[in-house]
Amino acid sequence: MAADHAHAHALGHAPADKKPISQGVLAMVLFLGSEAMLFASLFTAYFMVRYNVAQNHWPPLNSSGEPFELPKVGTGVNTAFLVFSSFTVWWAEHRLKHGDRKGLERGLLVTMLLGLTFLVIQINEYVHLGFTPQDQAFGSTFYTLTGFHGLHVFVGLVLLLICYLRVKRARDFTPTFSTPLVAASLYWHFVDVVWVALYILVYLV
Amino acid sequence: MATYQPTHAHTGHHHVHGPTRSAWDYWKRAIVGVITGVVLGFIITFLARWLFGFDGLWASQVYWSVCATLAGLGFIIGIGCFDWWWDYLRGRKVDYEDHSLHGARSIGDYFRPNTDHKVIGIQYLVLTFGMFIVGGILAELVRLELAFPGQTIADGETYNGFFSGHATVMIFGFVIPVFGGLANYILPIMIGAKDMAFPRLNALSFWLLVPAGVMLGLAQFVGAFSAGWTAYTPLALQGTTGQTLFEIAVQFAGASSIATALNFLVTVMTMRAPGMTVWRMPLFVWAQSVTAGLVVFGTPFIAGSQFMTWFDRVMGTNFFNVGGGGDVLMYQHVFWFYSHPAVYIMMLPGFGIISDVISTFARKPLFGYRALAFSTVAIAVLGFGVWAHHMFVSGMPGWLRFPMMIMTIVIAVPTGVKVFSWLGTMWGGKIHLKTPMLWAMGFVFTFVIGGLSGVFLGTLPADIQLTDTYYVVAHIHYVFFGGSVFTIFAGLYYWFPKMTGRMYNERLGQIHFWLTFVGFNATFFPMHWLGAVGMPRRVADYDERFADLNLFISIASLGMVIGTAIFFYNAINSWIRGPKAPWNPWRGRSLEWLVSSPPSLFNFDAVPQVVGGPYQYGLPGARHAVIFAGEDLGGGELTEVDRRTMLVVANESVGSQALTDRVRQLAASGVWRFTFLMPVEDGNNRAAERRLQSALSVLAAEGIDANGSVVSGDPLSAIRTAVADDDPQQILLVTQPRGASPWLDRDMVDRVRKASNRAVTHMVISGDDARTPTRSSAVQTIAVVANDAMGEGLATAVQERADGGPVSAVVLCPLSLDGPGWTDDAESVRDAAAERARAVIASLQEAGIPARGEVIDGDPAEAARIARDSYGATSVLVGTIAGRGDADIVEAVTAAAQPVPVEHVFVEAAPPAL
Amino acid sequence: MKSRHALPLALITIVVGALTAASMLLIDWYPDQASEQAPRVDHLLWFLMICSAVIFTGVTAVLIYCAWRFRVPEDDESEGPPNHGNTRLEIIWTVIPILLLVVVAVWAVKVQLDNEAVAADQTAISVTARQFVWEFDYPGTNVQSGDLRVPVGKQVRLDMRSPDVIHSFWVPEIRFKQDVVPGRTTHMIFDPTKVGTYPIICAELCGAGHGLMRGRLIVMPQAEYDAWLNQAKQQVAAPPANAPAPAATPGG
Repeated sequence: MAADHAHAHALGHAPADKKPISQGVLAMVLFLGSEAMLFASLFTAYFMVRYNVAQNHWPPLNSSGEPFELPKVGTGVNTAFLVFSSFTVWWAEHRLKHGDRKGLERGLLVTMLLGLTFLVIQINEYVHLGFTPQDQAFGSTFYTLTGFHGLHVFVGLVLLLICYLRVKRARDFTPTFSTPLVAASLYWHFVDVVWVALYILVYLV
Repeated sequence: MATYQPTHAHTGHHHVHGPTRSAWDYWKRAIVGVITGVVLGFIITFLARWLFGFDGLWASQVYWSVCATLAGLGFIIGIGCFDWWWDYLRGRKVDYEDHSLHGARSIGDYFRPNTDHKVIGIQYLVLTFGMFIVGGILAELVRLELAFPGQTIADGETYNGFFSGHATVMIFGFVIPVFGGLANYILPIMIGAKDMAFPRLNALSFWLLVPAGVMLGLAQFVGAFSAGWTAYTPLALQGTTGQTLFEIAVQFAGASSIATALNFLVTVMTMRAPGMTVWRMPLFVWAQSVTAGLVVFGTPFIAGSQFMTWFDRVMGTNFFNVGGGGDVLMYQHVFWFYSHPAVYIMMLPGFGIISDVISTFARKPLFGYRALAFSTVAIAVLGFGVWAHHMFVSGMPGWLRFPMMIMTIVIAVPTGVKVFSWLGTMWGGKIHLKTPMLWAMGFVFTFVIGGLSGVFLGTLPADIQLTDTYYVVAHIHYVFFGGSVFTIFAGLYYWFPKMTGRMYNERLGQIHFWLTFVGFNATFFPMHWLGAVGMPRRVADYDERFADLNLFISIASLGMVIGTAIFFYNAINSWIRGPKAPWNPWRGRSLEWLVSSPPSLFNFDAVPQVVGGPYQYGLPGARHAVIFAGEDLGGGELTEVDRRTMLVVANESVGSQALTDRVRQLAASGVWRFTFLMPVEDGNNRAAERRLQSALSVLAAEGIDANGSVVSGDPLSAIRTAVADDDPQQILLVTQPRGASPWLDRDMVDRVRKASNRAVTHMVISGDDARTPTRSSAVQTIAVVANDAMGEGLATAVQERADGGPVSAVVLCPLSLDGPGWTDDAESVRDAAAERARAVIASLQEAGIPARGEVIDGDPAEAARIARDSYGATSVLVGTIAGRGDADIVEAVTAAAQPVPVEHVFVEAAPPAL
Repeated sequence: MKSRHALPLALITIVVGALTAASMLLIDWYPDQASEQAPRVDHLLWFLMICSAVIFTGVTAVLIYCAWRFRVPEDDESEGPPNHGNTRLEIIWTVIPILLLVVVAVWAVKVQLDNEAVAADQTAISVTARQFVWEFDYPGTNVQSGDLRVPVGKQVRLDMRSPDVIHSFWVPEIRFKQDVVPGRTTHMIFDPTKVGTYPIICAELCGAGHGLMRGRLIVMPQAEYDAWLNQAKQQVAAPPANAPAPAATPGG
């Protein structure tokens, strides 16, 4: 029909933000629900292996007859990095609201650096752990939980990088429209929360 | 085959994009992507294994896994799902409202990424029905093996692969995504939206399913995907390449499913038309939304289970390896935590479809709408708490069996509420047994059986005997096929006209239903008995005593095969050359029926305003939505250009109550303007013109845009001319009932269809109904009161007055019979009077003046009162025979009729020569 | 309901009900009862069947009646009464199923607890399920058998293990089934009441030979059982010329 564009306009092609709930943020929240369930399934495996099979004799004995050891302190420090990075990304959004684009950029950069640091330290720990995923159900559940988390950190870094590129190259995001940024930071917070839970339940308890 | 009227590229303040590439261009890239993925996978795996010194440089399962995954990713990247986002992340200027990939102008547009939810819906339907055929072939291979005891056509491993493949393809490749496809097409229109919330994500969801389907198909040929669709460990750990492909395919299918569900949830939450509260949503929207919630929160568990199995098989981990401290049963808990909600994912949308179909075809509101909505939510929520009823004999902790049993039994209650509500909807309705309704009623029958056998299986001691036997096979097919698939066919036939713009062949549809219904019950009902007396499931060999029944079942299953073949023929043939479908062939109320068949590119011409529920049948004037609403409802502008023309071809019924009501109904949505075409073949043009003027006045007074003309000569060429001149979207053809209609005797409906190449709706108005004029203040009602004077003279008098404007007439013959009683004399006097009145009425009708009347037991004054009060007469003609000195009658009538004006007409005392 | 519906509906219900009842009663739905557990399970099954038959009959009769009585010709453009629901009816058809289901649930719990009641005197036998044979070991002896032989009238306890994948031990006449899971020992008890030979059927997909994985449960009078056991013990104790009992023969 001749007036298709008029129709489309009449129907309101406003970007999602004009709606009371931002569609992009809503989608991210629901998606995080689904990701939470993914981690729940892996935690289920962990708890069943630990309490049903091993009767909570945990950590179990490795092939040398010693209980497996986890680097609680080192990882604790690493956890602090990740938690702090949640603050920096929140701060970046906060600066955007005040129109401070430099602050936004810096905040994003620091967040990404912290996240990268976390990953590097984790990988280093993997190398020095002294056991592999094939080392009993303990190794399997440990590496799967932390490995999936690490993958999610990686994806979070990619999302933050995309936002950063948009900020730099496309001068994107304004105080009124920043849905992708909000979504990415929500994802980042999620990754952080999962890690804290993981650290407590797997490393400490 | 084009499905939309041609539109041109988006103009205005949006970016203009060049002509889109052909589908082949996208596929070329996709093939490159697949090859790249395989090669890259090979190289990465080789390097990793070499550099890290893993045992077994050539561990085949690792290569298969990495290469298949990267090939799948390469495919969806190559086909172009990420193009827009690639531009986005590189910081290029992007148009959020980029519609360059929207819509289909040719068949090639269906084979490339497309952002139009209608195209995606069709893509899903075609792909999933392809999977249906694959799953069906595997089923028939199973039945072929089972037709005779002993290993007949395949060895144990291959046979296990048949039923594993059958179930997996049907569940992940057909039932779960087909509802997504149907909903993709219909749901956004049903809520008044122009598309889904995330059209690009929608396209990605579809293309994710293609690698899944390919891998599942391939798995049959590369061996050992034979642990059932349930893939229990440790048996699944013995699988090889086929099992690997199964695990990866499930991940792709799961990702597709979750992405679609996110889209549905956000769409329904944020894009409903103004006025559509959740209590005004059709139940299909309720059902699909709740299902989307199940998908989002449940699917990750099956992903987790398949990740862990894959790790154990390919990387030597110990999730399920007993020697390494693994927990075999843990697989079942994780798997069933998704897979039980999965069965509701496969059923709830069907419930929604059935609710809509039954309401439409029984012409009644849904019985217990809120109960149906609440029970949907209840089933979904409770469904997360019953997973271990699949594990009653698994060796899980004994105490857990009891709460699981109780919860399972509880779910029967909301399910029962639904069934009874559907029956309540049918009861007392006006049932049209068209194909969608046949499937719906057949569904209630088979689903009740499936649900009842489910109660057996939920009852712990019964389950212990019946689980893992053919009783379960009977149950699952009664709910999957008799349940889900029946509802899928109901929905497909129901929305076929909307999606394709064509009507399917009703007779073939009925044959499809009956063949399938009988074949299905004959195949699966006996399985209840087989299981109860001792035939286990998933076996190729069985006791001799079961041989005859198994052979019978295998032969009976052919009923479904033939039925399905007929369905495919009907669907394809009708799509290509079926009669054009009107906008609303089923006279439904929900929003999808207020747009064209198929809908235009962005579905609606203006934002629809929802003003009531979607099931308000039986309430005159009740509306669900209007597309052009007045200012007071906050309506959007619908310009002259946007209104569609409906050509109304009718003669005697123009101006009648029945036809005017129908026009009012159609006009309610604000979309239509009407052109009346009155073909006159008996030369009585004057009468026709009178009727037309009468009708047009009524419509104009009500603000309905209408015009028309009376045409002599051949009706078919008149219609052709009108079609060429006015370009109507649709034709409403009115005839008398068969037997009384010369038009029907000449097959006019079909001839008009062919001649006009438009959608033609046929409406039947009986002779009596045609003569019942519509009540309206725009039309003058003249009452004729006379006894002996009733005759041609008065008819002429009415006609003279009719020339001053549209009129209808009421003919009243008052008889004041002397003395009480019912004598023979009185009888003949009454008959004669009735005859006179009838003659006058007929004469007026002939002249094109709608007329009715009666003989009244009373005096002329009484008749005048009745004329004024019961008939709404606006003037009265009282007739007396000249020279009889009935002046007092005239006075009495004048007084009685106040304030309605009375005129006196003298009639010559002639013998009644009418 | 208007009275003009009552009679035809009742007639249809009777016809459908009769057909349903016939299929229920004329077909032998369940195997022989060879254990104390079996009659308890069967009674519950019969109650479920009767309830199901009633509900099925009602639904089917209403469906048929609606399709016949309320059907209108294609041309009919009228609509049905704008009836949105009937609260009293909705309550009735929610409450009655709940009551029925409560009965089922309570009854089922009782049956299960009764069926799992441990007797003081048990014959304990170890079961090994492997791809694709059943092996039975008699504790306290070195006797190994491919058939499961038990004395009638005394509770049997099976302690089951699998070295490879999940199997499931099922004897239809006993009405009990229990998966055999690698990494743990699962248990099953039953009280055989009838002398005879019954098939042991593997009821959990275990691989290519799943359909052929059968054994035999042989319930014997106590005296015969004792005699068999003694003889078997002697065979094992004897010089290697007498090989131990052979592996299971698929049959049944």
